[in-house]
Amino acid sequence: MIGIRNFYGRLTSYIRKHRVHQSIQLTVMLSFTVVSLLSMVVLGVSLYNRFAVRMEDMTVESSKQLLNQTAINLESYLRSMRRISDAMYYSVIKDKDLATESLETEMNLLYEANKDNLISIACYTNEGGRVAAAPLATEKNGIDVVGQRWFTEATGQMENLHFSTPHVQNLFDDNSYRYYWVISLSRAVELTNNGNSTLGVLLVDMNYSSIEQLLKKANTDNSSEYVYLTDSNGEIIYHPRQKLIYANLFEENNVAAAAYEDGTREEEFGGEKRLVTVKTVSYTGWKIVSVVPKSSFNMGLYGTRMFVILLVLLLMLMIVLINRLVSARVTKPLRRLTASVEEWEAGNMSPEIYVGGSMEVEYLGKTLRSVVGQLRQLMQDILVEQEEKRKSELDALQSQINPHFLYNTLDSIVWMIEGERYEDAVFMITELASLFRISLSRGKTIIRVADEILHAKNYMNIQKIRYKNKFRVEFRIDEQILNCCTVKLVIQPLLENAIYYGVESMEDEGEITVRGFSRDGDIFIEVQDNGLGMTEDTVSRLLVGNRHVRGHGSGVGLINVHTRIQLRFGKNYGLEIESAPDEGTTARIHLPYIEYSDETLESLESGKLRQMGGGAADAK
Amino acid sequence: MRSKWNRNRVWFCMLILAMLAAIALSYYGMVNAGKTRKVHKVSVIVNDSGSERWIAMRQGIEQAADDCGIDLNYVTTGNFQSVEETAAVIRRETESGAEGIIVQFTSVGADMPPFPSGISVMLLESDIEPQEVYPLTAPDNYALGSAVAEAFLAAEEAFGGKVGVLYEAAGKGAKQEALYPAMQARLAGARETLERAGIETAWELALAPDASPEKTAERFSGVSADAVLALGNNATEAAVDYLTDRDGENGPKLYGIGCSGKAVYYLDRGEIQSLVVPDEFKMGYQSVANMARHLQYPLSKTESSVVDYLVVNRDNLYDADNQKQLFPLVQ
Repeated sequence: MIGIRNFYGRLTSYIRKHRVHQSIQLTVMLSFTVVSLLSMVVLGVSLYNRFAVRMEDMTVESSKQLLNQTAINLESYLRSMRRISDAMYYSVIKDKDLATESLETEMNLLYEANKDNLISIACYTNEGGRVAAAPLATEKNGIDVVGQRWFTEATGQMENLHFSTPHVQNLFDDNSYRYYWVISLSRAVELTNNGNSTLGVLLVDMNYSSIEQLLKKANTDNSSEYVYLTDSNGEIIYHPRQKLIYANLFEENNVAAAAYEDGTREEEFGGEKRLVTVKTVSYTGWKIVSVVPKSSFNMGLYGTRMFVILLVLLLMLMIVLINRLVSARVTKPLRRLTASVEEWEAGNMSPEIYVGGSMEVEYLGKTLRSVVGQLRQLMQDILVEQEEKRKSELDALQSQINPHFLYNTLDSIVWMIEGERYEDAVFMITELASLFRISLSRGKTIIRVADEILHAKNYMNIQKIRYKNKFRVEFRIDEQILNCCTVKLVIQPLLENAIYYGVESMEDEGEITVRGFSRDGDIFIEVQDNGLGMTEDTVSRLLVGNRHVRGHGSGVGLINVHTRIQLRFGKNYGLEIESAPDEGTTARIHLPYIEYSDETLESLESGKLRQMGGGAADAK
Repeated sequence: MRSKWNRNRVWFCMLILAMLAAIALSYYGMVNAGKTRKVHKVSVIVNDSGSERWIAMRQGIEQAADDCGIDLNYVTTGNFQSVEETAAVIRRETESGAEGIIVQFTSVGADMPPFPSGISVMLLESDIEPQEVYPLTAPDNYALGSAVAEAFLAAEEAFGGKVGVLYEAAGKGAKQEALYPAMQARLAGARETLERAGIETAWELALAPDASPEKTAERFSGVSADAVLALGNNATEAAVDYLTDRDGENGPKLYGIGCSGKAVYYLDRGEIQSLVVPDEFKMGYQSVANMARHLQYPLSKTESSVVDYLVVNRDNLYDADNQKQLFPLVQ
């Protein structure tokens, strides 16, 4: 019990360790199949074994019947031989006085009546002298009758009848060169000669072929089963392969078999297992032995075995196919659900989640469908939220411009009106109105480059009045970029910086040049001044959000422009600064080349162009 | 996941295919279970098939055919006068569908006749020497000749008389004195054994197979000896007929080779002192058993085999072991 438990423990631990994750269908199918097959194999083997045992029993029974029948026939034959001997002795020899009467006539009659089964009948005196013989024949010269085995046995145990083993008769001269195999039945007899009793031996030589024919009948079938006959010492009287045994071409376990009790037993001889059934023939002590090699069962059962295997295989095939179908049917909802999940995994955010099958799977499907819906909603919410956040940030950035500039401009207008420069004031207000119109742009953040340039010009016109033409400004814009898209209000902060940090403090007249051109499929708008310039260190910190760089100004920094461009068009675009002390500064706006249209405007405003391609380059 | 399903499907298909194959095999096994193996047809051709000397050999042949499931045809023949006659019988048998031929050739100086292709051949106690080409089942003829001489030497310890040797010649006419190779070997065995014992033969007489009784009697008329060694069954029988019977009690003591009932009978009567008897039953059995093995497994090589012999005299003729070998069970 403990051993079984240990084995079970080891088995389960091994399976756990080496378990490979398989599909539920395969697991279900394998489980069903293994259980079914094991049951079937056990059933098949049991049935086959039962059949084999039954076959063996039947064969043994058949052998016994055959042996009994053979024994009956043999006993009957031997009984008839004994009767001949008895008849000769009790009816003839005992009644005759050999001095006056002969045995020949009766002996011949008896021989003639039984000559099919007899070779000869003879009577000898105790000294070996022939008293009578039938048929009449010349005795061999110099023959030693007394020394022959049948004679010695008869005189040795006088009360018995003696059956010899087969031997060649060695009594009479047959000039046709024939020799006879006989079985001698001998007995001691009392001979009367002149009233005196003397001992003699009566010999009845049975034709061996009669016994041979009798036993051949038991060996007629073609199976490897055979029957043989031995005397009580195991000396073979008849064997279907007798000559082969004599020629040492075949071996038989006859001596051992003669020692067996009547019945059936299993023995191993010559490397072969076989069933041996023994039957003792009454009076003679001879043994009839039936041998059935175990291999003959196998031969006979081969077809049956093949049939059982075929049956089991067909059933196995059916079971495997049915199990496959059943497991496919049972696991179909799960597989469809898995397919839905795979579709979801593949990136389809709106998969058709399967809901169906058994109660548990349906519940799973419903839950999953609900989870997918919730997730989709959450992601949309996040997107909207992010867009809102971006927009609000953009708005906040843009809103930083207006108050400062408005304050400064209005301050200038106030100053002009106070100085009674009404035309300048009107011009300035007109420019301011144009500037604000473009700034508002009906709430759009993306405008044409042409509008942005106009906005810049409005701004510079205002600033030039404020700064009393202390600097010159020049616009060199390629025509082809005028109808492209740009984030609004990106040039104005650069101009503002160019004025404040570039040319405001210059003693000479400052120069600001605005260039717009297209290169390598992108748009570049440069604002170049010939002001004081900056060190490399200062330039490197301009676009990283360090507000301390600035000394003074409107608070609208370059970062503002840079961030807005990148928020709208991606990290590949934005602002670049080149500057050197006393050589001036060039601020370069880098934008994607996108033709202005209602569709592109809408896409850019909703942020889709950037989202889809990871950058505005996708919109080109 | 998808690839795993595909893999499982492949395994499943392979399992189904394997099961279908096993079903086909078991069906084949079941259908063929009752069928017995092919029965091969074998013809046995010996010189003078009805001769009494073949009884034991024929029993061996028939027993082996029965054991090995051979369809046996023991061809009825007369005395072959030439190899061509034997060849004609072989041709007839192969045309009748024989797959194997077991044949005894008796002719001197003749070449082996061509056998039809695809036929298994086994030679039986043949006088042509074909061992290099075909397997031969026969006794060791030199040993037989020695054995008969040794039997004589053992019986006649201080022999001072004349010894004659009687052997069987090959044929008539110019070849009358020619010897079968088998007989040559027996003669050599007998001669050399006698020479080693310091005995010289007084005469060596060839016995023609087709000689009339008168011619044979005439041939024996001028010879006499104290002992005769007969080196064949016919020679032994002739020695009995023409020497021992003729001279009665003064006739020579006869030592022979033979296996016929007549030879045994005269041994039993005391007219033959010793008889060397080849184990003809075993010879017949082994030849057919080897042939059957070769027909069943054509690539197997069939080896030549040598059969034993028995030396018997009147005293031990009826010993249990001797009578089992000497006397066929049923005549």
